[in-house]
Amino acid sequence: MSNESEQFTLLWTRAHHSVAAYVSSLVPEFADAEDIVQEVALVLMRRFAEFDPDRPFVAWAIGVARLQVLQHWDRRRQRPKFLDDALLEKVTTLQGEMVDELAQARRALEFCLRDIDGRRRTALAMRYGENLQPTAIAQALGTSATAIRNLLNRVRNDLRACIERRLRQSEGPA
Amino acid sequence: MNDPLELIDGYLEGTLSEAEGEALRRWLDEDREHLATFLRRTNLHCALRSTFLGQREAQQYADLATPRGTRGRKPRFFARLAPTPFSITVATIVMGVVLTAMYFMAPPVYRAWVRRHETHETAMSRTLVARVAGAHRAVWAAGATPAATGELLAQGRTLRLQAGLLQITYGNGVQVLLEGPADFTIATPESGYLQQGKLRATVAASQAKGFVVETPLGDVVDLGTEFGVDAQPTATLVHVYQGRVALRRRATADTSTVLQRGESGVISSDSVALNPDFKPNFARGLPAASGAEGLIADVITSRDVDYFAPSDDDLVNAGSRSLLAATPIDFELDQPALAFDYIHDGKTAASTLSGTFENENSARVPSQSSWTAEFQLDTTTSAQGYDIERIETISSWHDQRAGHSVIISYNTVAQPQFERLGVFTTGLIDGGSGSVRILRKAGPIASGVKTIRLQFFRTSGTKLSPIIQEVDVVGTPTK
Repeated sequence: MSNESEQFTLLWTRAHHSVAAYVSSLVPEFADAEDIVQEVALVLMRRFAEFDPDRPFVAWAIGVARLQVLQHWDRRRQRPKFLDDALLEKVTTLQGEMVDELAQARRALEFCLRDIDGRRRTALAMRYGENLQPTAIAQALGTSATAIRNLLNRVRNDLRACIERRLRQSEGPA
Repeated sequence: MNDPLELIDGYLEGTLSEAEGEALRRWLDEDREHLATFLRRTNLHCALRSTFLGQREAQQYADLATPRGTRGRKPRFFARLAPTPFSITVATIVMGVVLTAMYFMAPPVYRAWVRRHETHETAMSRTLVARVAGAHRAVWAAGATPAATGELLAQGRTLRLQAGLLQITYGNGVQVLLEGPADFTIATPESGYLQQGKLRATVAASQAKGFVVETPLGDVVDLGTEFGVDAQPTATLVHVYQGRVALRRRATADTSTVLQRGESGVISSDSVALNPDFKPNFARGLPAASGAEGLIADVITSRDVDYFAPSDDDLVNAGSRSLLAATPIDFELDQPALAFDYIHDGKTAASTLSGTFENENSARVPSQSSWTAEFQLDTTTSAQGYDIERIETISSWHDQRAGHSVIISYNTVAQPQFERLGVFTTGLIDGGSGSVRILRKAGPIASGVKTIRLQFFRTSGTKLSPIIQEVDVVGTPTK
């Protein structure tokens, strides 16, 4: 592996979670977001010679991702109305600033998911593993779509609370 | 919907109205911390997708239980080509799929093309020289980076397996079956370094003669063959199943000994020698499919519950020597006649054709929730656990209580963590009987099984409680 290849692989491996999360925050539909992340990786790889190693790679990657998202919105004419240019800039900037915190949260999530079982885990697996919408999950589990939405909201709230607890514990006493 | 978190979830689920979108924008504009909350929530959404996409826990459900027209979007081109966990492999997929497909499909053409076009992208793609072809109960060592089935492996990638099996296929066709605990590094397109542990390599003579397995004490050089290598701290043990291999000691690099088919050898720090006393026990290959792969789930319905005769060789029948304990979890006994034990008593209820609906020999699933039956098999009589050949669940009643849905999972003697087979359903049955019968296309459903867990719940389309008549788990002791 050439040095350049090694360097790109290393940098992208570290950054891709952050890029995927950033894209997902702007394009919630999973398949679209995953396609955009793949496009971002290809663009970064082609333009790697232009990368300034004095700058954080993840910031460069998020900048490229922002352009890919804008292109996606233009192609589909599906830009969320509330995400105007000013808000997009704020999201882009803050995502870059929160990279470390969000990475810690992802690691904490692995532990927190161990406490989710039974119907709650089934609903998560159907929603996130199979990309089923709440209506389809509800039909299969014999309940209402509202009940599934509420269930998923509660599980996400519980996971977020667990993540915050773990992050506080890892910080230790002040 | 005024709670900001609900607004964010509505945005993520695509249900946000224009007015709610405006409310969300105003809230986000108010405070930087609001924006941070938004990003924490959307990041959680993404991380959950990454996690569950890899686990595929609901795959069987989607195949069997999802009504037509309600499934999620099918995976796109990249996902179909390499269905690996997004969280782990997106970088590898992106860099590798398009460019290295040629490497695996048409190496001579690709290599010639590489020589002419030494661009960054092609240089990158050349480093991906193998892929994970499959795994069985793979447990990764602490701190190791897991590799998922289908993942492309770059030169220099080390695989640290604590337990289980991992099948690797090199671009030149060489197959390496790694047996945990083992540390193995993809050294070059024609070699690997076995730091410690066991592997079995299969090299077709026409494909990759000269493939080398390096170990700390010496190298095993393939001469068109199939062989096993066990790298231990003081000796490297080798056995040849087919063809020939050459052994060479690290200190000298000279080819000292050639082993023929059926012969064993040993490389130590100061010698290479035949080793006729060696009794090789290298894994032959990945066992039959596990998890949801290759499962067949037959759904049978009948007006007559007598159609479903409980199996005589049921491992979980009450009184069976193979059953250690049967435990209900969250089971609500609202009528004495609807008892948990009736679902493994070897009997079904009265014929629905007769018009009588006896309350005996059945168990009811509460309409608003579920309950679980856990069957622990007796491993004092079969220490290796049990091979499960067939699982059948039977429900029967009038109205819309004749169907049921069930999530089936199991654990094994070697793997205490439960593996889910899937979610199965008879669908809605309006009076009569229904059965879900699960088999595998080839081989047992699972081997070495210690515990089977069945979580029952009602089918979609009705709010009435299903009546479970019987559970059959058919199998034999694992040998």
